[in-house]
Amino acid sequence: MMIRTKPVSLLLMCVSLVFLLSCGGGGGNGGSGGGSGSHLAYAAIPTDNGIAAFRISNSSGAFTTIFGSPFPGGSSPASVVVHPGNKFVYAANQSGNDISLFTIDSSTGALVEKAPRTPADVSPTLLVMDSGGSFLFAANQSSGTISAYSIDAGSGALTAIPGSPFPCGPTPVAMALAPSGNFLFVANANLAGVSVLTVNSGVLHLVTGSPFPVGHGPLGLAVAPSGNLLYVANSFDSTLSVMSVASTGALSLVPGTPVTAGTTPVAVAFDSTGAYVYTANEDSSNISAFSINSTTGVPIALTTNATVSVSTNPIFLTLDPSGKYFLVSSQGTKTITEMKIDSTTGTLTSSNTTTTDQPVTSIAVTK
Amino acid sequence: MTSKSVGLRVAVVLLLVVLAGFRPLSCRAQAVPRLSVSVSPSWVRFDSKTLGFSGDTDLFGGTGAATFNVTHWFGGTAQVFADYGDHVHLKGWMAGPQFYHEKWGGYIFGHALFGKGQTRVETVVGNHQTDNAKAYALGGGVEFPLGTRFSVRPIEADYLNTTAFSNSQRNIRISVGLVYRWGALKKHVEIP
Repeated sequence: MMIRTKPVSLLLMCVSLVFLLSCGGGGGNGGSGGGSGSHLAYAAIPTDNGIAAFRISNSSGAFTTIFGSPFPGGSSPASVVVHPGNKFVYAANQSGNDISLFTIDSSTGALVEKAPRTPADVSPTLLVMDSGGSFLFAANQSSGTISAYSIDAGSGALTAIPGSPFPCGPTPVAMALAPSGNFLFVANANLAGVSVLTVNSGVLHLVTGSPFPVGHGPLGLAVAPSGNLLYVANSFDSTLSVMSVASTGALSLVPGTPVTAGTTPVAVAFDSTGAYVYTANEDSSNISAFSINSTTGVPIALTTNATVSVSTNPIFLTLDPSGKYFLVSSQGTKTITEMKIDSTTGTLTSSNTTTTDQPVTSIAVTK
Repeated sequence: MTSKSVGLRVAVVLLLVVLAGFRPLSCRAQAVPRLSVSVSPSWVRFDSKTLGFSGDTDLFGGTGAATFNVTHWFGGTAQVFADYGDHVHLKGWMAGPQFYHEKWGGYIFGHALFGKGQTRVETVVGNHQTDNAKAYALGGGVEFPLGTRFSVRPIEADYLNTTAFSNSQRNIRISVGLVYRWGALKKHVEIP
């Protein structure tokens, strides 16, 4: 019997085509930091001296631990931020008194630290970056200063702004940048106040009157999307204050506030529309949810599900770039939980959870 | 795509072109060999999303197999495989039963193979981790004799399941192969 040559050749050609068409792959379908259908989250774990990394599905929100996580970093990284270009991650190393720069491998999500680390002042514990990714600010808790850096967009390298570090009042424990980037708000926990600094090309100046009095133990700050209201979580008072921001940066308490939150609110955050605000209450292990009076900015507890239980000792709320949920870190259970946001009612429901081997102190997400 | 990947792709395509140019000889084509060995360049679509990657990873490499057939429709095969790609290397061995069905002047074969796979992942240069765990493959292909000694496998496809780093990977493996044969197991045909 003769083999029919044509079918065999056709089959071979088909296989050739399969191989040639598969040329686009090779090492994963990279793209920006998120890749298609997912994005990345990086979490500071001080006790590991490392940064944990997760890929989060855009559709389901499911966590997948990045291979090799946690990635080694500096000494006690306490805070992380992701550059808006999704290429770089920065970590404030509290014990190392410096800032680590990591590059993100877009296909694997892995982090590689780029040496050398950039010096900060004493005990940097907080990082914020402007929306354009041009400046990075590190709050140094022990020295009461802010280290300010310009960022090289190509390499991610940090260069200290002349005059840095800038005084910001003692014990900075929370920091928020106005959406316009013109004011930096710093909570001084021991003074029951918030210091305001003007930002001009990375140069900081304390606004006259700083620190402005708020409740006791301010540990959480969030600026309304409009930029003219600052929300302050007063941990000792278990309240949420709203401060009006004048054009000079001066703060004044909005009448009708503070309002009652859960026990020991330590973090505050808005949903993506700015219509709702939430506090993470460390000692009552829940989240308080408020709608916002669009005229006055006063928070109003939701009529249903005003508080939602979460795992023990939640310490921060990070809004996912999709705007669909918050990432909530619970120190007691060493978990990161997604709280799904109902965009109509503002209520939260628990969704996916992942576990870390040690407590997370900060989380940042690629766009 | 790395230069290694390009090289392997070119090699595979060249092999296919060469094989396509073979002028098949007249033979008792449907005879299954008693013993055969094969080499098969392969492409594996590795399920690296389970490792947190943004997508699957293309691996290129090959498989070497030896097959001993008991009857014209049943035998046993054992294979070693190794495939390489960016960040991921996969190698191992598997063995299991293989079944034949005569068709198109050659035969279709199917197999269920079980063994071990070693997955090596390196997401940070100089810092790799390796895991050895069970692997299995379910699949088959077609084979056409080119003479008394050689056969060609224009396509072989497998669902290749590996386990690494506490995750199960659902991979696809596509390969082409060249087979060297010894002996023949003929189907019993009743002559009227």
